[in-house]
Amino acid sequence: QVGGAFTLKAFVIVVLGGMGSVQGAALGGLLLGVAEQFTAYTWADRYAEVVDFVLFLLVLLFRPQGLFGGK
Amino acid sequence: MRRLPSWWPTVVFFVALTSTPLWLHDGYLLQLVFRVIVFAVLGIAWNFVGGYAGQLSLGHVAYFGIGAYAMTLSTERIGWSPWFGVVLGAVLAALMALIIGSITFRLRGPYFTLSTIATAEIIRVLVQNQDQLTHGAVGTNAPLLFQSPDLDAKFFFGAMPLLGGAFALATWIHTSRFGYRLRAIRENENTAMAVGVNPAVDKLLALLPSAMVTALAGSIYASYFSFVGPDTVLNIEISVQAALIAMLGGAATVWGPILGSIVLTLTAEIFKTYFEHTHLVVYGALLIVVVVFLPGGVISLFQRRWRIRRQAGPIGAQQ
Repeated sequence: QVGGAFTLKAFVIVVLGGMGSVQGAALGGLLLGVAEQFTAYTWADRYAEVVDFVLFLLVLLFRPQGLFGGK
Repeated sequence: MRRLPSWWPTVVFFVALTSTPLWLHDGYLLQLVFRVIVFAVLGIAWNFVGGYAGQLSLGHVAYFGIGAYAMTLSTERIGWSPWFGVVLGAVLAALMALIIGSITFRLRGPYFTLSTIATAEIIRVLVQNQDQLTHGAVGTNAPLLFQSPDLDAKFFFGAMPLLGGAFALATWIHTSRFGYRLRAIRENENTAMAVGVNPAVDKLLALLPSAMVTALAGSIYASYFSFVGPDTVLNIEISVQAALIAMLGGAATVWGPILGSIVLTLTAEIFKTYFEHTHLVVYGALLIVVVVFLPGGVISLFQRRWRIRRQAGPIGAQQ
């Protein structure tokens, strides 16, 4: 129960940053964390997770190689 | 002696299964068989997309939940008969499939799988947090589609047509041109496009019936257990179960998901009874054994031993 949410988040971060890119993963993690907290602060913390996944889908659709992954 | 026609095992199976409530009066066992049927339906529905088209979706729980929630909320808020809610659930699931499909089907391989998980999770989090509309994380009671007495038997007879319908649909897909196109997409999307298949359209066309059947299964499941909640009908485990059942039984086969559901649901139940605290370990070990030694699924055992004739299908359709 505890692990599932974090495994999923780790996946999201890696894809966000670009698979195989170490800097990408670090930056992806930072970006996700900031996005989550920004949502929590300005909107509602319960929707933080929704923003995670929306961000994830958007990156997948428009930059499938990840934000920082070179092709 | 004349040989029996090739469809006789199917008829025997369905007649035997449908008559179950007539000779089985144990409520617990009936409930177990009901769950086998519902998960077989889920597996069959998943198979359209995951088996034939080879698109490994782990977001099918979204449609399952939509079916369950549409039935419950339309009955509760609008005062409809739950049966209208069931239909509404299927329609909403189809609409949702169009939206989700047109987004996620642009992606391939692991990215597609992840995006389906993401869409299902978005829906789960939204449902969990719309307290006024959906009762939030606590969940609520689902309406009964059938009235007592003989509730178990009635639900059983309600689930059978669903299994029959899903089975008929699977049989059709298995032998139709549409099914061939889906397999072409699975084998190689680019080559399929080169020979005139439109993967974007065909994948959506496979997802539509898949989502609708899944939603129907979701509403009858929720009604049977008379409860909907994000942790039960929108739990990602249901997606995993649907996929496991289809792959364990034999992906892209008509009988595979049914066998898979029988094996998986029954073993899970047996292990739960006999290995109270370690049943998931045994369950996991069984899965690994099947995947390693029977990559074609449980059905390959039967195909090898009893030489079930290969049904019409391209080479490799039934490994």
